[in-house]
Amino acid sequence: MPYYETVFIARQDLSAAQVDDLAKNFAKIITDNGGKVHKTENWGLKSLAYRIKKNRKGHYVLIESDTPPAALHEMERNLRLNEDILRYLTVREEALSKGPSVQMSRSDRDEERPAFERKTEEAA
Amino acid sequence: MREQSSRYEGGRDGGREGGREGREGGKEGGRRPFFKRRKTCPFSGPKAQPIDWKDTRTLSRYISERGKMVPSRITAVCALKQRELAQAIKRARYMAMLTPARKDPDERGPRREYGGGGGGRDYGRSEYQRSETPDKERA
Repeated sequence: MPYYETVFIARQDLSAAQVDDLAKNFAKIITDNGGKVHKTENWGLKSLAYRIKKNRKGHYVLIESDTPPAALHEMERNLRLNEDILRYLTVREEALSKGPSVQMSRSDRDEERPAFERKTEEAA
Repeated sequence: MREQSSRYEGGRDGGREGGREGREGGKEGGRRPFFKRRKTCPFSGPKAQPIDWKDTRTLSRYISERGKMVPSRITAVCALKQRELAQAIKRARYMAMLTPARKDPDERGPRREYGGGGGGRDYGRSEYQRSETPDKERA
């Protein structure tokens, strides 16, 4: 089964709990249709670079899955139907990612370590 | 000298090389026989970092103040990776993680850049140098 990563943006006036529910629902669509969800990440409320449907901010959620295309299409259909979803993007991946994505790790990295240290660690 | 031209996409090099060299020399105070170390592509080679559309911090290093991509002859990204980079930037723009490239003025674009349609090739050096400065991603 191919690997996909889907990121969607949910409306800003949802609560964090509601966003988690949404993510769970979409993940469930995948598992119900015979796919596997590798990980879900909630990137939190981020400001958008431009307005989408009058929103200036949005909740970003990433779902990475190993799933048959049919299940993915079903999830995308639901993403389109759902009015709380501003936008989504699915990208096919060659391999499943290891560890949290850059967006997730960034915030705590910024707080803990200066920039140059980070670079050396990535190289190692 | 020869390997310098390998950086250009095919067909475009030709007469450009000489002009470019002159400009680079000019940067160093007008001395002609100045050898500047070739920058190498940051995305290829053994220590290459992968191009990820979610990594807005890295991507933002390759776009100018106005949100346009920086040409590879300035960033030294190789042609193949430049295409990958383009794809990544487009994805990030679609997901509103990067600002879209703008033509018209608004509160954030630098004003001096438009005025006359002749701007096509004249990339102000200052702009691209400024793009090295980190963190304009949130604003």
